[in-house]
Amino acid sequence: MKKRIILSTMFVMLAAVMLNAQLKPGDIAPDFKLKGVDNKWVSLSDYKDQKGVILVFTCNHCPYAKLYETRIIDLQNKFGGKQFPVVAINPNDSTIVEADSFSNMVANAAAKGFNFPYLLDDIQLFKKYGATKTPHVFVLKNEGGSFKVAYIGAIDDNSQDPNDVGEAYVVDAVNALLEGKALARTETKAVGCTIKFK
Amino acid sequence: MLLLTAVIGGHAEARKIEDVPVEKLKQRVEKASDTIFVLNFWATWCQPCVKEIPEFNKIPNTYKGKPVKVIMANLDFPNQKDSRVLPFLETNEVKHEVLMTITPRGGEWIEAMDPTWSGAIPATIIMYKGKRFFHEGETNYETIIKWIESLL
Repeated sequence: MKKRIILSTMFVMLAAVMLNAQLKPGDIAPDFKLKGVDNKWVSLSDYKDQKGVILVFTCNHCPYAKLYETRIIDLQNKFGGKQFPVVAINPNDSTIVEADSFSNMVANAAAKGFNFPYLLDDIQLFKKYGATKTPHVFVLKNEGGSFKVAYIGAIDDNSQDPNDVGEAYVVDAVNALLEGKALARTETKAVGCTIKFK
Repeated sequence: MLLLTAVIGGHAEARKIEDVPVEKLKQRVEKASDTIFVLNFWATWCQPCVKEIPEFNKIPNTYKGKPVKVIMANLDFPNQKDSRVLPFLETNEVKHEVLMTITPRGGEWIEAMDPTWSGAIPATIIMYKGKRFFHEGETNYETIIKWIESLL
């Protein structure tokens, strides 16, 4: 019994360490190769000719992710043409949440008119980034071919009402990067759904 | 049988959910007292939160002669109280006090509640006489009891 308690305590501690292993602003973002809803494979290194990438861990089922779908489309409309496109990644295991399966991703992307790659993370890439929830944004700046984390956190400060946003964190961060200015914020937090994995 | 009917009857009564600013909630659980506070952040839309509610229901009111207070801090949007939260409580048993957490704009309150919290729910904080334990993610009864014991 005692052994079991010690073991499970160690497991809890290990899980806590794993959760805390998040990339920090300034870190180099790890490359990846994941399949998108159009059956094309996408790598971060495919974006070497861009100024940066707005990487969004998101999914189909989470109500907070749903609240932000239109705003993510807007980010691509706003910054795709300015060489700072959106790439979205669904990190959830569909054996836990069926709504987040690849076929449901294809359907959701078509229904909402996603104008950005929507990739399935079946290699637990989210752990390398330290993403813990959906939506969870990593704004990456291209510095000579390697992508550096510039901002981690929420899209803006009002999940519920897009018409009552005080600070548009990601828009402000990308604008600052495009203008070569310092970022007002490099990390923010918001409520979201835990990433579902085994 | 009569007792059972009385218990069920008690639960069938319409519940009230108080709106509480998250700052007030924080002050309440951080207050120095003999009470062990178990604070669980949840929402009706959060599948793992809903799944673990029966685990919190198992926590007895008294723990080794010490008062344990479990607070289920709801994070549905306040305008969904009547449409989602109250109907949820009619069909799902939540034994402990349910509060509607009123949060300010932005995420500073998440950081203030616990610096290691990313904002994902469920999340559980246990407070006892200035000592605290925090966990982000799903849990179960046995683990919660172990966390409480680690603070005693």
